Parts: sequence; C-alpha cells; structure tokens
Amino acid sequence: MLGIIAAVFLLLALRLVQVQVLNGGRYAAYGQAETASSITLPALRGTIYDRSGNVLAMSVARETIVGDPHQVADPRGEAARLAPVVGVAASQLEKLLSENAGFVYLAQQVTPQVADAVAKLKLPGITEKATEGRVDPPGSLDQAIVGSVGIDSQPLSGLEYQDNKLLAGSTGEEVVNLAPGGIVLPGSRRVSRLAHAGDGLLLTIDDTLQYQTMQALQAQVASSGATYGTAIIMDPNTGAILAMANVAGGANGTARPATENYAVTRVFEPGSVFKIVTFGTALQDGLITPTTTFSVPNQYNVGGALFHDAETHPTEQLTATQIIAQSSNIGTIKIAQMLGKGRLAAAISNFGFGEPTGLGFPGESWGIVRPVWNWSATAIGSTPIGQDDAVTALQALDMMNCVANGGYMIRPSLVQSVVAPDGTKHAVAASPRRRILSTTTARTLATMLEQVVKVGTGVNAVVPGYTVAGKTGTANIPNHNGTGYAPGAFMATFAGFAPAQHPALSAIVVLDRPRQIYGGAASAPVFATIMQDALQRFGIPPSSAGAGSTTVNGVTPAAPSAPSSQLTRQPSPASGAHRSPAGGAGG
Amino acid sequence: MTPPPASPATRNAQRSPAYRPQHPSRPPLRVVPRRELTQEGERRRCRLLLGAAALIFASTMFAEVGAHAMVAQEQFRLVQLQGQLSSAQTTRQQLQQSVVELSSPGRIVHVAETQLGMTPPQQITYLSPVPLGSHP
Repeated sequence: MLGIIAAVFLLLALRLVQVQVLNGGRYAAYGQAETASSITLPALRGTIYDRSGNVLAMSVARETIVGDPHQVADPRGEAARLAPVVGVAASQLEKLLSENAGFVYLAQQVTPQVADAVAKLKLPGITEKATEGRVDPPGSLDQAIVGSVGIDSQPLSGLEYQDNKLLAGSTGEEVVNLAPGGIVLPGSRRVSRLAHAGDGLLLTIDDTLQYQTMQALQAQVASSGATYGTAIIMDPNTGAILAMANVAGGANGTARPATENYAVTRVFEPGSVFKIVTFGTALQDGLITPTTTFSVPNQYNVGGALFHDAETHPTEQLTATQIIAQSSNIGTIKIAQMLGKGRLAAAISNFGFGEPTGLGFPGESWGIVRPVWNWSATAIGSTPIGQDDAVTALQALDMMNCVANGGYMIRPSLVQSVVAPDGTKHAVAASPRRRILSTTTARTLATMLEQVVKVGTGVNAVVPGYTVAGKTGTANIPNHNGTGYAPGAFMATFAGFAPAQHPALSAIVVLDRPRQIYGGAASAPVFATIMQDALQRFGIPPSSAGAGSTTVNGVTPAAPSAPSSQLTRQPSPASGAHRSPAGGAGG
Repeated sequence: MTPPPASPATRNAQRSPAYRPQHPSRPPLRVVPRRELTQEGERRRCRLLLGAAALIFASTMFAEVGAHAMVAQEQFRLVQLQGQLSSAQTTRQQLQQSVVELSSPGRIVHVAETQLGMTPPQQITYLSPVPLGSHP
C-alpha cells in the first residue's frame, strides 16, 4: 500500500518537475499571453504656431464610437437611445447596427463628453475608442498653408504633410497584465517602447496679417467675380512669408477661403510683371540706363507676328523708365532684342523661373519655362513681356524681392523654427543668398518701379504716406487645349514693395479672370490695402515722416471695400530706423 | 602534617542528633549528569526556536498578503489617478482650444465692431522724434 502511495507521489513529483522546471518557461508564456495586453502609447502631434506663438493647429482628445452588430440584439432601440447623444440620425445608426459585421463606425471624432454620455447608456455592443483630433482654431484662414490631417491623423496636405516626420513624433508601447475586470495587475506594467511627442512648428506667418490679407482678398474676389485669388506678403530681406492668402471664387459673387495653396500650386503667364527680368538684366549688362530713349511705335513685327501695346498710340520717344512705367510691350521687346535670346533665357533661369523656389511645399510647381533651343521666331517678342512662360505667384514675388533687397535671390520660408516638446526652439538654418543683380542695378530698377506707382499703370497701389515700387501685369489665359488664348480671360497681377527706398515688405496679388481685367485696376488696390495693413502691423513709419508728426489717411484710393482688418492693431512707429518684420535690419 | 583519624565514637557523636537514616520507600535520588541537563535545555530551546520560526513565518505570510493587498489597492488608486490625469489633460486641451478660438483675429474684429462699436481709423498720426535744439 505504502509503495503505491509512494509511486503516485513520485509520479506527481515528476510531473511537477516537468511543468515547473522543464517546460516552465513555455507555460509561463501561455499564462502571460492569456492576460497580457499591449497598449499603444500615443505620441501627441506637434502644435503649429504663427510667428507670435498663436496656435494655428493643435491636437485634442477625441473619441470614436464603434459598434459590434453581432452583439446588438435590438438595433432599433439602441439606435434610438444613441442618436440624440452622438448627433447621428437614428435611421442611419439602425442601419449600421443591423449590418452583418463585427465592427462598424457609428460616430467619429466626438468629444470626450459625448463619449462619456455614450458610456453611461451602457448599450450592449457599443464601445468608445480613444483617438486624436486635429483642430484649426482660428477657422479655415490658414488651411491652405497649414494643411489638414485625416481622421486617423494621417497627413493629407500643406505643412502637416510636408513636415509630418517632425510633427508626428513616434508612438510608444506598454504591456500590462489585465485582470478579468480590466484592472491592471499590480507590478505588471512595463513600457516596451517610449512615446515621443512630435515637434511643433513656429511659422513665419503672422496670424493677424493673414486674417487682414484674407479679408481684403476675399472682398476683391467676390466683387470682381474672379475665379480665384492669391496674395503673398513677405519680408524681402529674409524671405520670410508673413501672409499667404488663397481665396476661391464662387457663383453669384461669393468667395471662400481655399484649401489649395494657389500661390505655389497654380501657374500662370505673368504678363508685364515679367518685364522686370528684361529691364534688370539690361541694366545689369549696361545696355540701358533709366534715361535711355527708344522709339516706340504702336505696332511692332517680331518673327512675322505683330505685337502692340495695350493702348493705341502714335510712335513715341520713351525713356526706359517711361517704358516700364507705362508697361510698353514694344519698348520692352526692343530692349530684349538688345539682350538676345541666349542672355534673356539665362536671366530667366537666373531669376529662379522653371526651378524650385526651395520652399518645398507639397504640390509646388516649378513653373513652365521654354528652353532657349525651343524658342520660336516670335519668342523674343512674347517671352520678355511674360507671355510664353508660366510662373507661380511665389516665383514672381521672389523676383520682386531680388529688386527690393539689393539684388539677392533668397529662398522663401514658412517655418521659422522647430519647437521641441520641452519648448526649446531650434531655428531653421537660412539658406545662402545668391546675387543676381548688383546693388546699384537693384536700386536703379527700384527707382524706375517707383514711377510705375507714381505715374504709371500702378497708381492704384499707392499707400498713403509711403513710397511704393511695383509692377502691374495683365496676361491672357491660354486655352485648355494648349492652342491660343481664352477670349476675355485674363490674369491680373500686381507685385511691389514698400517703402521703395528702404524696402521692408513686399507683396503680390494675383486674380484669375476678374471683371476688371487689368492688374492695375483689379489687383493693385488689394496690394495697397494689404501693404498698408502690413506696414502698420509691423510699425514701419511713413516714408514722409520727418521730425514732428505725420498724418496718414487710412482709406486707400480705389480700395475694393474698406476691410475691417484695420482695427486689429495700431502701429508703434519705430524711432527713425525702418524695422524689418523679422527683426533684422531693413532695406 | 596529617591530622590523626577520628575514633568511631567521635564519628557517631558527630552524626547525632541531626543524622537520621533515610526511609526505605523514598525514590532513589541520583545526581543528574550535566550532559542530560544540557540536552533538555537544547530541546527546550529548539521548541522555542521552532515556535519563533513558525511565528515569523506566519507573520511574514501575513505581511506578504497584506503587502499584496496594499499594492493591489494602490494599483486601483493608480488607475483612478491616471483616469483623473487623462481627464484633466483633456479639459486643459479644451480650455486651450477655447482660448485660441476666443483670441482669433476674426472674433476680436467681430466683437470690436458689433459689441464695442469700433470702426477702422480714418487716419493715423505718426509721431517722429525731434532732434534736440531744433525747436526755438
């Protein structure tokens, strides 16, 4: 008897050794797997700020309400109770809960309060899933720049897409053992991978100026019936983009903020704004001076094609300054012929056309520049007046910046610095500037461009109290089939800078198919409005300010409508010296 | 020098009257050897030690169970605190969002125009510094 008992105990002991010692690890793993649960530790997406630290896009907690129809016995009853809480129609919820599926989305991106209310209903088969929502607090004013993210935080457009690696951070992982009630077993919590929050971005955009620019552009797109409009304000000395507004025109004179960044994605034939390339290069090469006189007829034959000016006139003797101030096509073509095809084509490339600006914005176009070997016989007539090549608004403003800052091409920038999760800022390295024009040439050309606004085609761009230099552009829009131009369809452009002799700010306004077709009539007034706002915003004193006081009328001539934006900030005039928006030395 | 041995009469005189012969029914007494005494003491000490060990073991077990209970209790508390923390963070985010919305340029302009009756300025006066001695 004792022998049997001893044998049984021996067998038990052997089994114990087998379970605990020989296969202990395997069984322990089985047990662990039964209770272990992996939890993804979310990495908070970085916040996007304007240049003053105002939030442009931030992440907040959101919940998704999901259902398992297999566990729902009464779809109609549950739908009726759930509908008023989540704000979805009961019929829609009932349909979802009646599906032959194990998982359906019932409501996405709801607030935690709504999720709590759903949890309190204790409906079988209905659960809440924590997620993250991206909100753009100031509305959709910056959406074309900031971009958007999807429901699962995947980047879709704009800076959210471009700088996703910085913004997203990296998720972590935590493994815990859970009791049947979902309680974490003591001592079982272990982090297998740490979560790292995303970096923030401090933009060069000024939120208030962006709002003001948006208001002015929106009013003009609506009143002019334009298909779309875009406007950019920059610091020509640093390349910092201070505002970048995009407005889509709608039916019946409506306009709304666009989700596409037209300023870099849409190309257009620039028209007379492009004449700056011709004049700048001819001045640089010593072929002309501001007073060089040309005989300008009403029509001019180039390669068998007859070119003419915008307005009929007898043959005139015009100086180079008068040619650019009046935007004479024929005078410009004559100067281009002095340069020759090769030199002009090289200059176009040198000014950055047909090449990336360096901004790297998603969907950014390089523009369309015809290589010189592909120029037609008439190209020396059409190219210098901006009718052969296609550019983006940003490329056109980069060209204007080159004149404003003394002859340098500077890479435009939207991101000033990267903000680490602990708040430390790491400035984005500035790219080296590339000299295109000599300082003397740039200053001479700036003086000539002042005449455009004083007496030429750009008089509507006058900003009271300030000297403004700029250039109008009115260009045909090519047909979609690539041959010829669409009748009655024009792009109206104005690009310029102020104060003319100590440039601190530059801007461009482009309108697609406005009723007032000329850049000087449709775009220049918007330029004046937004430039005035910007000059006040950054406290740049009037050009005419000497000792004492200077009073500047707040109403710009021919402004499309008085934007309410002028309320936002009173200027704080700098004492004497012009102040750059970026804080650096102006002009 | 050795003393002379005592006589038998002297030995009797010395025993009387205190000397009495022992009763025959009295159990025989013997001198317990030291070794036996030591073993008994060791057994007693051993029992004491075993008792103490059992007590310590039992106390340790109780302490262990108690500690586990406390850890489990703290785990519940930790879960609760984490919930509170998450809730507070959510509230903070929502408040931050509200602050940003309330301070957006569009809302400020709207409030200024509709509630405060403000209008855009018709003219702006800039004051520039006057060089010393330029005024009479």
